[in-house]
Amino acid sequence: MKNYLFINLKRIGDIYNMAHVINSLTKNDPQCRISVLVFEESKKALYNLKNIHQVFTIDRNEVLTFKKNDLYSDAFSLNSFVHSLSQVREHRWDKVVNYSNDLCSAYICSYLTANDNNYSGIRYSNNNCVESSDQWADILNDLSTTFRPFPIQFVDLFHRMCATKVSRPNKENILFSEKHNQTAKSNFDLIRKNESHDQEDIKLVGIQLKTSRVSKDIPLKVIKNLINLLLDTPGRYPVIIIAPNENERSLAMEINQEFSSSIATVEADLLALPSVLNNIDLLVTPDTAIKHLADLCQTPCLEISLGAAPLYEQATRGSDSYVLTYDLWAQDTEKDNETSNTSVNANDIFCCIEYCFYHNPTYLSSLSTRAHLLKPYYDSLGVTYKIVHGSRNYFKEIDFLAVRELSSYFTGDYLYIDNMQIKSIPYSEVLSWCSREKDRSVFATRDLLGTLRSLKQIGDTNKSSRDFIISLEKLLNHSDSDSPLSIAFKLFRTKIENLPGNDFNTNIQNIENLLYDLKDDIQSTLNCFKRFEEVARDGQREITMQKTITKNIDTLPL
Amino acid sequence: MNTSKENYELKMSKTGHPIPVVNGIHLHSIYNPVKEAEGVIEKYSEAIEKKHEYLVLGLGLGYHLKELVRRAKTHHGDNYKVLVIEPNARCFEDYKSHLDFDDSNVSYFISKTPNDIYSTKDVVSFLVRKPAVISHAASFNLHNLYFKDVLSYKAPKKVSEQFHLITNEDIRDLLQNLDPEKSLDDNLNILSSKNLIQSPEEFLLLAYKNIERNQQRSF
Repeated sequence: MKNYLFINLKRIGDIYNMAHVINSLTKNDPQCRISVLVFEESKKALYNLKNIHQVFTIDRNEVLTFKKNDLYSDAFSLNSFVHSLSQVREHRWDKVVNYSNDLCSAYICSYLTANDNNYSGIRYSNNNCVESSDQWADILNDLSTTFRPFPIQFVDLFHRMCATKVSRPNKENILFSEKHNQTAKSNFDLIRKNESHDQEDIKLVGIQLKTSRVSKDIPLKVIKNLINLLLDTPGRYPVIIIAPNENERSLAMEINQEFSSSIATVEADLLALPSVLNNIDLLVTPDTAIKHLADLCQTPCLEISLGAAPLYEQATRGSDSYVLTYDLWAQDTEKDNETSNTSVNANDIFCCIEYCFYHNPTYLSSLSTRAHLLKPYYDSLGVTYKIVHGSRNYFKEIDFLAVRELSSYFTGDYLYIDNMQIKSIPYSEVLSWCSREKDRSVFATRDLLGTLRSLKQIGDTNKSSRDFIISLEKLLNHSDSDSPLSIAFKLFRTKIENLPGNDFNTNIQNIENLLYDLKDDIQSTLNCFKRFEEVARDGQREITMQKTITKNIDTLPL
Repeated sequence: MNTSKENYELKMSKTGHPIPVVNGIHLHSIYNPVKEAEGVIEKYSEAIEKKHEYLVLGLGLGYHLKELVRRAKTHHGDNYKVLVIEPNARCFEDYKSHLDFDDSNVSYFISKTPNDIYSTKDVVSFLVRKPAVISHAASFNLHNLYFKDVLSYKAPKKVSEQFHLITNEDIRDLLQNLDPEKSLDDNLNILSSKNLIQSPEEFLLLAYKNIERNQQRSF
C-alpha cells in the first residue's frame, strides 16, 4: 500500500484540479492511501472529494496574524507553522507530491523528504538549489512558464510525474450529500415542471457569475442579455448559481431585478454544489473553481475563457464540454489589464449553448469573427483542445503539437502526438513550418559548435575564457524564442543554472557534457520535425488517394 | 505590576455593596454599583450580541463583569469567553471573597506585566480572534499607564528574547546557532543565503519564510 502526500497551498480551483490526479492514482492503484496538505482556508474544497484519506492543514491566517501584529511574538507564528508540519512529518510517505510548485511548498517538500528522494515536482537540494524529481517537473517549472500559452495541462504533467495513467473524470469520485441531492432534485424538477408548457424537454442552463478577477468575468450586461435570449427560447431556462456571500447575492439580485425576480437563483456552498451541478444540463462559467468541480462531476460546461484565464493549461477537461474564447492567437495571460472583456457577447454564448446541446454547426455560423470555440480531447499525453470554430493559425497549431511531442520526448516517455491533428493541417503549411524551424536549427547548431570550440580553448588565456562566456551567452539566447526548438535550449539553461558550485575543471567538464547533450537534443528536435513532415505527407497522399477513388467511383458506369 | 503603594480601602455603597476605593478614587458608584454596571454594559450591547468573546480591561469588584456574563449567556448560551485584565491584586482578592460569582468561561490576568500577558499562548490565541473590548472606565483611568502599556505593547524582536516561547526544541537549537541577537526575519535571511542546508529544520524555517509569497508558479 503506497502512501502519498499531496502538498497544495493554492486556491480551491487548484485543489479540484489536483483531484484528477488523485482519482487516477486511486483508479490505477485502489490500495493506495492519499493525504493532502492544504491551507486551512481551502480545506472546504476537500469535503467533496472521495479518495482522500487524511487532511493536514496550515492555518495561514493565524501564522500571518501572529507574524504581522507587533503585539505578538514571532515565536507564536513560528510555533503554529512548525506544529502543523511536525504532524505531517510523523508519517512515512512513499511519495510526496509538490502540487502547488511554489517556494513554500518546495521547502516543505524538502523538509519532508530530506532523507530520501521520494518526491514529485520541485524541491530544494542541500545546496539550496532548485531540484526537480524528473524531466516532467522541469517541463512544468521551466517550460510552462516561458511558453505562452503552454499547450499541456498542469494536471497531465502531474500525471506523468506520478507515473499514473490519465483517467477520465467519473462522478463516482465525488461525495454527494443525500440531503442536498434530494433538495436539488425536487427544486429543479419543480422548475422543469413549471417551465414545460407543451410537455417539451426543458434544458436548465446554470450561469456562474463571478471569478476572482474582473478580466475573467463575463460582463454583467452580457449575462443579462444571455438570460433574455434563453428566456425567449422554448425549452431553455436559466438558473443563476451563486456562492453564499453578500457580493454574489447582490449581483444576482441586481440581475434578477431586470426580470421581475423571476429567475431562479441557487445559492450553494461547496458541499451542496455537486448536487446542483448534477441537476442542470449545462454550466456556463468563466474560469472558476466551479468549472473544475463541474468537470469532476461530469457536468457538461461551456467555459467562457477570458482575460488571464490560462486556457491550454487549465481549461475545462470535460468530454462533453466546450470553451468559448476570443482572439485565441493573440492571447497573453501575463498581460492582464484587469478590465472587463469587450469582445464577448450574449449571442455568441447563446449559439455555443445550442451547439453544446445539438452539435449542429449551423448554430456557429453567426458567431462573431474573433470568437473561437474549442473542444477538449484526449491524446496520448492527456487533454488538449481542437478548434471547432474560428480562424486557424497553422504555424501556431504545429508549434503546440511540437511542444507536446518534444516535451514527452525529452522526458524519455516518447509519446507520439495524435497524427490526425498533424494531418488536419495542409501539407504545404507543415512543409513551410518545418523549413522555418530547420533554418533556426542551422543557426543554433552553428552557435553550439562555436561554444564547444571556445570551451576547448579555455585555459590558454583570459581572453579565451571571455570568448567562451560570450559564446555561451549567445547560445543561451536561443532559449528566449517561442519556437519549439527552444525547448532543448530552455532545459539546457536550467541545467546550467542549477550546476552545483564545483572546482573549475569539474565545472568545465559538466558544461561540456551538457553541450553534447544539447547537440543530441537538437538532433532529436529535428527528428520530430521530420516525423511531422512525413505524417503530413502521408496525410496528403491519403487525401489524393481518396480524391482518386471518389473520382473513379464517379466515372463508373451505373 | 506593583500596586502595593496604592492606598486601598473597601467601602459600602448605599445599597450595601462593597466598593474599592484606591488612592481616594471610587471604582464603582457609591449609591448603586449594580445599577451602574447595567448602564456600563448597556453601551456595549451590540458588541456583546455580535461577538462571543470579550476582553475586559479593569475588574474593580466585578459588578460589570457579572452583568456582562448575564447578557452573554442570554445571547450565546454557554458559548462565550471572557478574559479580564486587572493590575490590582487586592481588587481581585476582594472580588473573590465578596462577589458570589464563579464562571469557568471567565479567566483572569491579575497583576501581570504586558510581557507576561503576551507571552501566554492562551491569551494570544484569544486576542487573535479579535474579541470585543470592554473597559471599566474607573479602573482604566486609575491605571491608565498600565493599560496603555498593555494596549501598545510591542513584542520583543530579538530571537534570544523569544527562546522561552519557541516550543520545538530542534528549531530553538537551530536559531541559537544562527544569530540570536537578531530578529527572526534577519535570521531567516541569513539562512536563505546559505549555500549548504544542514538539517530538515532549516528547510522548515525557509518554508515558513516564504509562506506569504506562495503564489509563484516557477522558480
